[in-house]
Amino acid sequence: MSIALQANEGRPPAQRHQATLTEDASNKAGAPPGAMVVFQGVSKTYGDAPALHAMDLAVREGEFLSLLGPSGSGKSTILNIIAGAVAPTTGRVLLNGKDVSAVPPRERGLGMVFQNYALLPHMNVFDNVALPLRIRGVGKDELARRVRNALERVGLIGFDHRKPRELSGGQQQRVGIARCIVYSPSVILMDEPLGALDKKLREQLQGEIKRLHKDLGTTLVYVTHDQEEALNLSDRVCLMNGGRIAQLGTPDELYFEPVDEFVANFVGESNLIEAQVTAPGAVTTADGLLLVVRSTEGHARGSKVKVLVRPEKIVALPAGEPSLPGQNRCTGTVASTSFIGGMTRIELERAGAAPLLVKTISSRASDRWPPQHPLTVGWSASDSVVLKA
Amino acid sequence: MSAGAQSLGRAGDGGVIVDRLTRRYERLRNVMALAVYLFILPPTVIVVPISFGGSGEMTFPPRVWTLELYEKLFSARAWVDPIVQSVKVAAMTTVIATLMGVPAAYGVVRFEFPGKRLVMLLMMSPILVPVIVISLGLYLYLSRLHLIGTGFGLVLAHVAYVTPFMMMTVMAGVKKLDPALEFATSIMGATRTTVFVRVVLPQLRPSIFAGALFAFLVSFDEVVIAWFLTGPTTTTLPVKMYSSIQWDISPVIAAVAALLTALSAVFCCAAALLQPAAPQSTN
Amino acid sequence: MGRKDGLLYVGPASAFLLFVLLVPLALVVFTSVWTAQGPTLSAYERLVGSALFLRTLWNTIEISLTAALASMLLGYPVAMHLARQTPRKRAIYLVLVLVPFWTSILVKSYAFTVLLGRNGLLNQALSWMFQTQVQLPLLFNRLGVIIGMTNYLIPFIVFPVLASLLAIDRSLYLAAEVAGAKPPRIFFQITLPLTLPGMVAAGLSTTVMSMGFFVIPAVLGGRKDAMMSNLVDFYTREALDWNMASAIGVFLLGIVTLAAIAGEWIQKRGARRGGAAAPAAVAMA
Repeated sequence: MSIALQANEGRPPAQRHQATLTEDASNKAGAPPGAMVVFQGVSKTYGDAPALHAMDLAVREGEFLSLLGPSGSGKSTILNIIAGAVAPTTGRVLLNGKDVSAVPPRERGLGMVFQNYALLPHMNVFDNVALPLRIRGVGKDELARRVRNALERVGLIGFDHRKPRELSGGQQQRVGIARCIVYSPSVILMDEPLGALDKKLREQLQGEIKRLHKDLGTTLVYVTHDQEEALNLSDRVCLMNGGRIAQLGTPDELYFEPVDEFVANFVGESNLIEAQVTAPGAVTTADGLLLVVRSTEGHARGSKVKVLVRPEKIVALPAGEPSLPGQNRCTGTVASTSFIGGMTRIELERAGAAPLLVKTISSRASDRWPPQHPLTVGWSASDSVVLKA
Repeated sequence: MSAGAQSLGRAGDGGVIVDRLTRRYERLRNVMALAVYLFILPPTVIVVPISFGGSGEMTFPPRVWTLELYEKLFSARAWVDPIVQSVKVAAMTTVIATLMGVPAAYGVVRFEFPGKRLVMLLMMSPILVPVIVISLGLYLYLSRLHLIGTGFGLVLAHVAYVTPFMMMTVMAGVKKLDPALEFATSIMGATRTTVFVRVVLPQLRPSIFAGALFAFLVSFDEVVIAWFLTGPTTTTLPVKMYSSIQWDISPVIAAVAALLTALSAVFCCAAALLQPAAPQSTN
Repeated sequence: MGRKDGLLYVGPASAFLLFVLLVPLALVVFTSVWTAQGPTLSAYERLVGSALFLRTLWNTIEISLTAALASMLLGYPVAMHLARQTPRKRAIYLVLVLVPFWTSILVKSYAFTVLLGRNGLLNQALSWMFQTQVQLPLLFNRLGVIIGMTNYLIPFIVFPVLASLLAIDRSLYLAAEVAGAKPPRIFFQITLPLTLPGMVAAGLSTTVMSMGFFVIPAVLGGRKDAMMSNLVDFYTREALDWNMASAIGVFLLGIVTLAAIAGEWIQKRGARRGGAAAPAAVAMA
């Protein structure tokens, strides 16, 4: 099925004709080609408090974009602006090339999944999923076929006559997703859909959502505060901080090439070693340790920086061996060891410097290092990312 | 933004996109609501300006502004005595109802005991049973006890009638209390009484006060029971007003009505200030 | 806490109500079946055969249902309006409902005599507006009673319905909107069904409340508009037939009990449907 047809399907009948007419005209509005959702200079201020600073954003067609960040970072605000639940203070919102800044939610042809499911309690599963189709005047037979299809996709065959309160949280959310996909909207919004579920269920549904996205190919904008979830599911992650985009990139980029300390700390665990640039590709720490890094580009000689090293990239080395080229090495004593299952976290104390966090694959207790044990560790230059201090 | 729709900034909502269609329905709703507000307000409000109109024809706005009716009211024993009687009865009722109702409200919320459902039903019965049946019952009952036409009889009746109203107010307050405070105090060795007096009552002060105001107002305004139980020397203000309306329409009634309205308004404000009476949104 | 502790706290009030309320009510039942000739159901027989009683009963039902229905139709828009305000504005608008709610029924009835009379304020205003002599008969008849009652009952509808409306999950509205629903559909398929239990409970309680009304029919009605309470008054103080008065009283009590049971049943059904609104509404009603 062509993407255009899919996109049109999502909108209620009145809008389809209009959409085809205006699509050509508004492509001249300056939207990047292939972008399904575009923010141009969008900001949102509540009274004196800015929830979102002026920003641009382009969500590509068919992409799974996560809006990640701590509470109050603005990620939910962005989603609500796309949905039309909140009007931006400045800027324009484009959906599939059309300016929707003044269009109410019911005419945007979107789909939305909520954290608390938002199922109508007095209707059964079938009627809940059928609601968007009834609104669009779909005939009885086709309606039944499409509802059953949607329920099948989310694994809820035979649940037609149950009421929401008879379902578990995971089942209710599946109904929410079914209600969303049944009318094939052009963009699906998910507002922390798995936030109310426990860990095992969350992981299971994450997999299902990922699979669903692959099957449907719909553009998906997903809000979460769980960085593991964002890394796992998304094509790109938009990490928000204080109403601004901290970094927008692939999960790989955010993890291995964070642009600043906030991103480095939010996504995964990190060691941030304070140092000064002394030569291209080399920095010196306060306690005189010379470190080789991936690149010092953009940082002048003598400028203060922080070197990011992921704990799992630090390995234990036999003591006394000389460093290999491209390898960093330092010594310290084990301050504490935390066995958390597959990995073991080791806090390494270093004389005259901040402790290092090291993560290794666990061995049995008898083989783990006790406190006060001296330890030499090393990591490669390519695993050392230089960030502004 | 394009014409055809505007962002309706609602304070706290931050500006929801509301298009012409939605606003049309909202306007319809607002017009209907306004019509109803205009229906329920006049009877409450109109008596006040009328009472300043003097004893001539009832017009609005009044042709003259005078305190003539109030002078007549306060200089007539036929009216002043009932006012005093109402104040006395309401005050006594409030005191007794508070003394019994506050512990009862606390007991009902905090404790489980055999027959609790029956007790609750009993407490709430004055609200559930039609006033006329209560009045008839009390009439039959108190006449056997020769208490008809006495202030004491009326006080007894009013205490029974007013207790559930006061209890509901205080119960709402008790539900907001943190039981952990009471438990912590008892762990320290305090007796039940100490816990009640030193921990519960101080926290309940606003609720108790609001409940007492409510009780006073209900008793002061109460007409049906009083109609059955009072005699010529113990008439209360509402009874006097009722018989006046039925049989000797005197323009002074307007002044009485205005005073009662003022009383209600004062108590309404006081109670509203003391506790949030409005239902809170859950979202 | 001991099991008996609770009894200590509720003891005085319970004992008081037992002796000053329950006993008198029992006395009413007793008086309805006890005459100078001993126990008999003659009062009830006379009631059933009394044209006066039957007519009054019919009046009462008619007036109560009409007034309750009218107050539901009028109260719902107010509740909707209040529900959509911000909490601060809502508190202000609520004053417009609270002040009438706290005003004595006698004051309001009197005000209506001033407003609704042939030369009353309403007719005066209409005469001035249409520049002719307008004298609508609105007082001392059925219409006057219904107007007065509806006016009194509206706040009793607004509060429970408002509680119902506020209990609705806000995201339901957004979910329906995103799916494409227009305001009428949202009202009929979300708002109305979810507030229905609360509405029914409120309607039931206002109907029952109306049936016991005394002041409004006495002040605003004509002789043909007497309701059950007025009949009890007549039998008690004028006809001095306490036997009959009690029989009517028991009858009223029976109706109220039936209504309470019906109300409980509705509340249970509403709770089973998953509406949290129903218990909240019934509690407020």
